[in-house]
Amino acid sequence: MVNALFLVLHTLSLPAATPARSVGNVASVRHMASGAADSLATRARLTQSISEFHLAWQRAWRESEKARSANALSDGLANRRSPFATCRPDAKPELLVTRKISTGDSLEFGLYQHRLIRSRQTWYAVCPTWLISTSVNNADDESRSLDGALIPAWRTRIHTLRDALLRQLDSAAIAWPADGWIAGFRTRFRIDQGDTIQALATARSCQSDAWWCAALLGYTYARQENAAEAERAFREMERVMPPAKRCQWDDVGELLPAIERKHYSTIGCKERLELNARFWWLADPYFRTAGNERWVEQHARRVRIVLLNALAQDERYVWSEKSGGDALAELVTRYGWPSYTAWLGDSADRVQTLYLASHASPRAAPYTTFEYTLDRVHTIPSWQTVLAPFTAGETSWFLAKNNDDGLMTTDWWPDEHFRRARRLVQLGDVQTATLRRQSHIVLASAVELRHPAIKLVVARPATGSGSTPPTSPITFDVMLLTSSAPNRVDSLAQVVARPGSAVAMRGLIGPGPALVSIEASASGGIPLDARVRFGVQPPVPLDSMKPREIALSDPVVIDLGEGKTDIRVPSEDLLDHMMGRVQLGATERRIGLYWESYGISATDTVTLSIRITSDAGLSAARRLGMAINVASNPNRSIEQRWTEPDAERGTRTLEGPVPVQMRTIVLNLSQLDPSPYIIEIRAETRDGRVAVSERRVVLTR
Amino acid sequence: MPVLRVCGLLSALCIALPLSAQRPVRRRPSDPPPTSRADSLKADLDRKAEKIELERANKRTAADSVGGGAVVEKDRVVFTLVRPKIRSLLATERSTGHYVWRVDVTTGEPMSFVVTTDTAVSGDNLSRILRASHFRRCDDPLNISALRCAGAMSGSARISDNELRLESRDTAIVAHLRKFRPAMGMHHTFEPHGRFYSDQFHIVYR
Repeated sequence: MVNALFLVLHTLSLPAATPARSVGNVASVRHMASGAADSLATRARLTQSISEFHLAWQRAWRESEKARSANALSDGLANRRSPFATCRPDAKPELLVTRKISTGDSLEFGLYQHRLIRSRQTWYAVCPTWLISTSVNNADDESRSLDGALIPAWRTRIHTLRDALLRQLDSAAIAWPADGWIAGFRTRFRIDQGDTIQALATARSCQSDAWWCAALLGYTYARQENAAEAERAFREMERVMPPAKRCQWDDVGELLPAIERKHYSTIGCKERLELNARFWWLADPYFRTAGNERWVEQHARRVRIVLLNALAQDERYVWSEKSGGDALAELVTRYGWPSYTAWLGDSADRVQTLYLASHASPRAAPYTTFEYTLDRVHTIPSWQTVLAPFTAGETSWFLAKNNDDGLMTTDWWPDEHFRRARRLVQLGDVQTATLRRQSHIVLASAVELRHPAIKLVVARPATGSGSTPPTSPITFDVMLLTSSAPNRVDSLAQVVARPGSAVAMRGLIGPGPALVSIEASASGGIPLDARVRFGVQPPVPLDSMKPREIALSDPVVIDLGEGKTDIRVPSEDLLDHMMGRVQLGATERRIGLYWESYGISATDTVTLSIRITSDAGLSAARRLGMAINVASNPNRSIEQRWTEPDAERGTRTLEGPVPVQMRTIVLNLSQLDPSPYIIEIRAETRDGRVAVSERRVVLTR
Repeated sequence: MPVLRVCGLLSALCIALPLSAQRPVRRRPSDPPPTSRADSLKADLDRKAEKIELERANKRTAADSVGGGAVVEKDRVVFTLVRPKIRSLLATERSTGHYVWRVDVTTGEPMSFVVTTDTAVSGDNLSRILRASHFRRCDDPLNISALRCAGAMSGSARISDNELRLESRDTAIVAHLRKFRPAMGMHHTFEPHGRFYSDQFHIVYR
């Protein structure tokens, strides 16, 4: 039975202040007070009340877990969870990952990847992983609501206890309105109570340090899933935060792989500001929506850690650094709060406590798994991309892993992840070209709206949503966006497209490098977004070319559309027929090529050539065979050369200070073996000026 | 020192693990060659070693599962509570607040009492804190916060290396226990910085 523990407020005179502490990289609010000794006395009483509530909650949770464990034990779930719950730094990794489940549930089958996070001070460790069972009896996702960890029978009782505790905290807040510690608990418990409206009112009435009040406001908005308002509040928090605290708060080292983390730790606070801004800009999951959800989530995690670390222990976990709280802090920093935490009972706790004791580490019971739902996405790019964002390619981000059916899988585990309201998937291949204009650049990009997840929603659009199937076909609202710096996003084009179709878009951009993002949102209430992102470093526009300089645009592969696309008249409009990929199937060997030359007028004599060379690496055996003339060189190039002006060629010229010539050609690649190839275009004027451009295509079977 | 005793015992436990893991495996002629199954045999050994470790630990902890105990005599009751095994656990931080030891008995008519100071204290000297602490019976057992327990009760508390000993000759408490004869109770320790521990204990009657 849970004790109903109600306290009245007593204020006592105390001599000493509570010392400041921190867990991981996050500042503590334990020291945040009005400074009066009486406030500390109030806190002493409140601490006891809160601890008693924590104890009551923990008992309710233990009873809830015991009620669930009957099923868990019968189907072997406890055995599967055991190595994750009693996580040990010296355990063999295969104990954790080679638990193949063959229950027939595709989501339960596979390897459970994890990342062990060990405390720097003790042998306590946590092993976060994916949800080990997709259904847990009477449990809701506790990352959305803490009481989701309790079975419904206990939730009402805990709600009543928390309500009483909140009344006590509210009374204390009247006496000590500037106490940030009290403000933090009032906000936190209101959110745990599911009352984000009152939590917002509490955060707004905060009279503590300005940065902490802004942090509480941002946290509350974040828990309301109002990313735009949360971002505004967190920006204000950063603005008013003392520089030293901000440096610690903004540290992204824990989100990086070990080597990069080491490198990051050597960077000073001032240099980090710029680097961090770039880091979060690149981690923004979706440029087209206001606010950076990932950045907001990170700040919300920071605030949550501070709130939980306000006492040495929360409802279950020990946050004291001496007991391994730094591992918990890193867990929350990297992955947020888990969706489900399984507890294996007192016996398992005792064994783990003895294990810790054998390494002179304090106990930190109860020990649980930290399980996350699969709908997480890893939007942070490779560190190389952070250092040089405009060199990013489509593979610089690895958002999530799924199988060919579009279902998310358990056989990967990133350095960090977070959950978006809508699923985000990565589109594949993309074709991009930059064309010079007078003072701008035409950016043309094409991508195919193909992904197993898209196929999945087209096949069964209403699955899991509980909604009625849409009467109209699913479409995607696709945008072409560029971003040249943090907080600067330009929208170039927008189209509506069908799943599976190629989407070609173009728009004008400035001459500087930029990040290009093609972002597609599914219609009909389907929570699915798709994107592909990469950097471009466009050439200078025409007005910046040197006198007599000549140049060529990127060659653009045009889809001939079974002969429907007429490419005899070269024009920029052909970009509407760009192929959405440069991987050509067996039936796509006949392609059109469009390109432009700059600085060559209609009367200039120019020799043009197209050379197709294999880009495949040669094996040692092949090289040996070629040396003794028993094997051919697959990299032997095929070349076509001609001279213009030529009346039979349909070259179109736009005269001007720098003339632009548009050309097209049809290529038949059916004689080539499946392999990657470089299509190189070369222009050479009679006076020896040369320009070259190329496009890599892959011929597949 | 309890720390040494515990660590010493567990060190032996830790050493036992590799020794048992290295025990040679008896092979039958029908067994496949070791090279083909070396990995799985090793994995089996690891699992066995793990199991042995868990069994030993379970045996060892069977006694610990009940944290201390209570002896009810004719005119007094002595609660012996297991102090956490690592000394630093009980005073990890020099915080200002209340150390609270609470005993709940739920069998029969519930009874609760607490040992704590009337005012918050600062420091980590438990003997000093206990000297300043008082026994208070909770008028509304199980349903009242420790700091609101105000019922008169006599008792004394002292701390040794591995025990907290609470002794009471309070006739009402002794009579209550002897009347309902509960077999088990719960004790909770609350520390000023928010850490808390709970354990069950057995009650014997003499």
